[in-house]
Amino acid sequence: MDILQIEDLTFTYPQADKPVLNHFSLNVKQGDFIVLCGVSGCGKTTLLRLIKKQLAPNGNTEGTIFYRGTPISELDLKRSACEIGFVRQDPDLQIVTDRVWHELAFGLENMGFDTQTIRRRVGEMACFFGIDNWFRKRTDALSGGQKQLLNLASVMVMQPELLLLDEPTSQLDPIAAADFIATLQKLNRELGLTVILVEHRLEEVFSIADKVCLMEQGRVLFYDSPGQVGSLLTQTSPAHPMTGSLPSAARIFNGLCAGGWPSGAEECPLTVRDGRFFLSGHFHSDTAVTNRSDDLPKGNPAAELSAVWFRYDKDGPDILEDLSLTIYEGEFFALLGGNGSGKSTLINVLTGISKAYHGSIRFFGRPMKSYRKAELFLQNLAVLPQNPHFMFIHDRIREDYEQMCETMQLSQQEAAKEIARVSELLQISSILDSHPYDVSGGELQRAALGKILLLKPRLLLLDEPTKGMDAHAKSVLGRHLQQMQQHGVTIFLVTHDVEFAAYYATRCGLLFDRQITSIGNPVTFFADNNFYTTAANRMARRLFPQAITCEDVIKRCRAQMHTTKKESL
Amino acid sequence: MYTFSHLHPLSLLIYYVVILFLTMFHMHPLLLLASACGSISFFCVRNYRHLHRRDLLFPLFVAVLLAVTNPLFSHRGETVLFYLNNNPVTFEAIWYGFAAGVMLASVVLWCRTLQQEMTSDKITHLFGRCLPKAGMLLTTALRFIPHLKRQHSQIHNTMKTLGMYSEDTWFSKVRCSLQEFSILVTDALEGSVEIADSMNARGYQLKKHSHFSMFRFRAIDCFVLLCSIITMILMMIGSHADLFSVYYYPKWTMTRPSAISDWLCVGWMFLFSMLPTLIQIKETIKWTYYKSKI
Repeated sequence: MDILQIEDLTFTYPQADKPVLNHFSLNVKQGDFIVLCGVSGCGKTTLLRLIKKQLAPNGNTEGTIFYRGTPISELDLKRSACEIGFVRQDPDLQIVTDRVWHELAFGLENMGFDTQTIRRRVGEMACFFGIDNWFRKRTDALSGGQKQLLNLASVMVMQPELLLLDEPTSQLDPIAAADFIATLQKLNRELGLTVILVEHRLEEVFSIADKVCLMEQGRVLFYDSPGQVGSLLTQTSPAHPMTGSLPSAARIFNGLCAGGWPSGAEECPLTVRDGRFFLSGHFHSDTAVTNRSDDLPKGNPAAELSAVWFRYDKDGPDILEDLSLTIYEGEFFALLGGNGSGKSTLINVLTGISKAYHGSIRFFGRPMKSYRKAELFLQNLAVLPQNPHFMFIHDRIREDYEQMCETMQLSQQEAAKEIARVSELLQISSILDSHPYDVSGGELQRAALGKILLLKPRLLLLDEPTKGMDAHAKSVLGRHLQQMQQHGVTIFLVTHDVEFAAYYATRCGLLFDRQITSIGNPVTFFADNNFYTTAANRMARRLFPQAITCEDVIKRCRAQMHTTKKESL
Repeated sequence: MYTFSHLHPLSLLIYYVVILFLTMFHMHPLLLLASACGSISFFCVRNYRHLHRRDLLFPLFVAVLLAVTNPLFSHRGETVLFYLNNNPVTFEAIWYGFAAGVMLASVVLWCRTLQQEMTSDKITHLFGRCLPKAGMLLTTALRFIPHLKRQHSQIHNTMKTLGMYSEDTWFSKVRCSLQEFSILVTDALEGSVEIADSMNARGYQLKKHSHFSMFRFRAIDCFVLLCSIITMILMMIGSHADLFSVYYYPKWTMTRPSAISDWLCVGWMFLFSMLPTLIQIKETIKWTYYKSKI
């Protein structure tokens, strides 16, 4: 039975010339786990909001959405609130009350249930989600992952039939994200809940979905099983921007198909396990060392930390302990580490916002203390914070840029030239006159990057720059960072994102147990790790231990395909 | 363990209203003594783990301070003890000052424990019952304030790294703070739209709401509530029958309890003041015994 039928839906926002959803049709069977994906701006979020009556945006709607045979517009508000659950991106901004138990009860209170019913439902939900231990805590004391789990649980107490999720894991670290996805899978399998998940991190969710719906410009491009969608996408449009978001196994498979592998002969592999099986079935081992430079950089040090100790409180635990690190000029250093390992703290210590209580920090050969008040931040050091919204004061991005030029004491002509140069470099000329809240996440981040580039930094610190970004935006950011590196800017970023570090960094380090435990160029760094490495490396490490990105693996496989072809000739 | 803090918010609130009423509107030495004993002992029993010497010296200090300073300003009273700068210092003024000091100290101590007992969840529960809209507002505010604090510190750090605060002048500092404030407000407004969405998605628009709380109304809550009501009635009868009337000026006179019923009444007041302490001690002993059997 179909729980949801979308028939020929066209939706146009007021004052927009093009519809966001264009003759969109989709049927969802009860109990299905559906992943909805597409490039940003293709109408995924609009579609989800239209299904939930309370959140439906204003605009011109044609066509109908049926929930169990009833058009959404005629659906009782109470039924819509109860039976259609909605979880959104930001874990912080969905929590309404100050206590965990009250948050869980909030929806049921609105339904007018009596205390006994609420007590029972809240209790069983807390047990199911393992919330019992923090049931009486204040909501602001929770971690991001716990908050998002709470959001899910407080929707689940209403016993929904259909759960809509709009990029729920984009603000979470990988471990919390995997936990969240596992919980979703459990809900789907054990309760038969129908799930529609909008997601751009497809590595984990692709293999557990029943069906994948790939959207393009407000239409359904493919709606099929995940493996089929993976293969179809490569066969029809190998250069589609979504190919970059596919799981690594599918990307390698697709890369090989594009290089002449007989596609269609086999199902597209989706998980590391399947990918590994596929590779070992067709290719033989090749331990040749890659031509990526193996030697450590030999420039002047841009930043030196020696024996740095830091803690927040006098009696608190040490966050950084005897940490020493040198970042050389011109390198692209990625510092990886788990949640709460002190990566962001290290950035704050580097900028002097948090003061290390022991140890010395030097920038470009000079001790940090010798820099006058803001001298450090003008033409030396720049920071891109996790939330780029906080960097914009004015209503238009251009005004912020102009203010920055004033701080740099540029004349009007120089300022105009600088702004033009930066906006061209980052391809943001078109959004310069927009409000910072009106542009997409990736664009805003580039605008923020542009703002700090006006300070002419020699060392750029980035705090989790890829958080919440899709594969396309990530690759754009990565390219821009590499470009800056070529212009002589030293880049230091802290991240959870193993794949991003593997692709773009020239040196990687791991922060663990308050110290930097291992350091090296990406190839040796990831090849030496067993778990903390890219999916491509986990798949191919038996055959090609030195291959860490999908492209590396594809290149080596193709080389073997060529040799076998020659031999057979 | 069910200590005084585990009482239902309603019983707790009524108890505190009555005890504060008893303390603030009676200057009868016996009642002040009762309230002082109750407040000091409960404060000590409740915070015995982190008790500082200054916590105990504080009530004494206030009482002595008022006893010393009151005669400097008030020269009423018949019994002149001595003259200071040609001004009479009277026994009544000292005695009145001391009594007022004891009252003040007890009120402050009661309020301190009240603050410790009445946590935000209890307040929101009380509000939610009688004024659901205001209660919801309070709850969301309580949840939003820590969020805003965190956002503000992030904004401040970001501004610092952008080379703001480079000048030391007062003007530039004010300008930067205003800009930070503007970012914070924009962010909060943007966030409040999301929160409103989240509330509506879970049916906040629907008409019929109910109220849920984790608090149960148990026998002990009934008991405390009953005691509070009896005390309230006794206070009314007492004031009607001039049981607790006292005059400090011009000559100190007070009605002394004479009949057995008067003594019973005073005794009841004393017990009522000691109620939190007694509950706390009883429960501690009871649960220490239970634990000893584990």
